[in-house]
Amino acid sequence: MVKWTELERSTVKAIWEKIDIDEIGSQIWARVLIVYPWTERYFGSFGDLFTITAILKNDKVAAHGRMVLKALDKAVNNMDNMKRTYADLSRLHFQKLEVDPDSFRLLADCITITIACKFKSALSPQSQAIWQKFISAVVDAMSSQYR
Amino acid sequence: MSLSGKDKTVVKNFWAKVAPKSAEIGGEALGRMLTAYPQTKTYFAHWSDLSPSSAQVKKHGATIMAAIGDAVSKIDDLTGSLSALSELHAFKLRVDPANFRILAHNLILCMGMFFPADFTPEVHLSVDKFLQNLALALSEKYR
Repeated sequence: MVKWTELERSTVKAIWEKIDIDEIGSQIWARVLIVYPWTERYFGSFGDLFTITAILKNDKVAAHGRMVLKALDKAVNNMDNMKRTYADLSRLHFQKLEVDPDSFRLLADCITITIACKFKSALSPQSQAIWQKFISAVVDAMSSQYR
Repeated sequence: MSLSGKDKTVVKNFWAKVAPKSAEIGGEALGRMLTAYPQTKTYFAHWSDLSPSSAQVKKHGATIMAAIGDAVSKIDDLTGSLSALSELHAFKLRVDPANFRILAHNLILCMGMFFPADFTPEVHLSVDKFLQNLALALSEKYR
């Protein structure tokens, strides 16, 4: 189980409170699909993903990004219990959605980069380190049922 | 995932924008890497100060960015132009190439932080590919 200091808890919450899920969610998903195009394999039903412009305009992409980011809220509020919190979602991604868990790492990197672009120097190196620890724990929790 | 003509143009154009701040970005990226990925500190144990404000860190970050900038100008032959640096990293520094990915992530993060409007997903894609190709060229002499 990952241990969190008070500073780490408050830093993660402070970052999370400043994130506009609607704005950032849609941006993040488009970024993942554009920078790592093989992730499109999971989204055959999303319609036109053939060009960067199409991806940026795609409503389903935006909606999916918002949904995923909302699910991150669970991690922020259950930092001591992430594996249990995400057990069902992890199983779903493994057994039903058949998602390569390496994709979680790619998504985590894109979330971090998008936050950095938004917050700029307000995301200090120390805050980035704490966020990285948090998001890595989420990735581990999401990969935990892949057996 | 080799670089297309378009990738090369995108990287060159973005680099032209980034160039005036490249030393600062390099120093910032290295500092963040050492802070957020503490395992990378193992390669710099000979420095007295590994914090983001360290003069050693900022100087070395600038050195790295200068080398990357040089690679941008020789983007058509990364393996050839990075041959000497590859030998250095392979035989003397012996940096596990997995760390090139970690540094690339932090470089990308800083470039996005300094130039958020210019760092569109399209630019992100080409820069990510470029840094990946650069890492490959840097690992060329390893084995």
